[in-house]
Amino acid sequence: MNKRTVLVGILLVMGLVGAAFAMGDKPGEVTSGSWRYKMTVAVETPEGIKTGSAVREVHVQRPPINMPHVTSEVKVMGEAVVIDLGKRGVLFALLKGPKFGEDYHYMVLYDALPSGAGGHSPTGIEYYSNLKDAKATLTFEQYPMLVTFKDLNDPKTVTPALEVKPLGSNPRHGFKIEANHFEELFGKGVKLQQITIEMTTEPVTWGLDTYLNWLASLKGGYLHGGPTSRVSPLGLHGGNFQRR
Amino acid sequence: MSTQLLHAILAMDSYNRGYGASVALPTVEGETELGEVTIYETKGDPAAEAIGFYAIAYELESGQKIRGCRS
Repeated sequence: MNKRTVLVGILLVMGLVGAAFAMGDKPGEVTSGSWRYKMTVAVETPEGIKTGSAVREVHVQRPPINMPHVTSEVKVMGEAVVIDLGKRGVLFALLKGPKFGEDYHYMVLYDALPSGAGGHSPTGIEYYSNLKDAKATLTFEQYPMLVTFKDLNDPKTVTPALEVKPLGSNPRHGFKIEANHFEELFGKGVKLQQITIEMTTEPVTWGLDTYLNWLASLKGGYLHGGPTSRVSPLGLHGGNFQRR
Repeated sequence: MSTQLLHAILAMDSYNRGYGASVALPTVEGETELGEVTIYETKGDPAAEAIGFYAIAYELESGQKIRGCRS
């Protein structure tokens, strides 16, 4: 390879990198932002309405360049919602949901309170960073995974309280409630009333460890203690319950 | 379907599973199927996510496993 070929190669690479930067965000556009939302779950019981809520924080940082597969960095801090039903048991609304899978914890907000632009676009980041007094009631398609434990001390006893599944292999075809286990798990007359989501400036809430004493030792790993999702109950890991 | 085409489809499919999916397709290990292929296991917990790693294994009808990863 002669010097001229090397020089042409270097110039070509520099040109491509320059073009990638040129295609990035325009000067003055918002490139990062943070916001908090509160999710509240209400359950009807013979003793009255029981509610639980959690405040979570989302931080988004756009990539410095626009290139395929270079996506925004998203960090979410917060926990599953705990709904303590007393002697009936404890219901958990997770950071994972059927519609957005592992990205539910931030995508649900974009779906329930749409900005009209991509959530991670400069317009979207600006919108959610400044959004106040906005609230929505989730449709069942937007629900998080709702689970309980037959034994709170044993992560392997996790059980779905409500099963929402897609109509076929493509989630764009819609969802259905396949099974509702509320009365079977918590007793007659117990049913989900509603789940709401709203923007808030309240601090992020913590307290899940007082219910699930094994959660910290799991360090985000799969519930059965294995290295992959295989055989992990409901395919869940610690990050579906808590993110710090 | 040729083996190469199947591998290409599975390679693209891996981008639609787990965290940061392009199109979040539902994934239940041992249950979710793509034709005659079943999703066998995944690795996309916070430890993997922290280093931008995601792995998925598919099981063919013959029992053969095909593993793929993205970062």
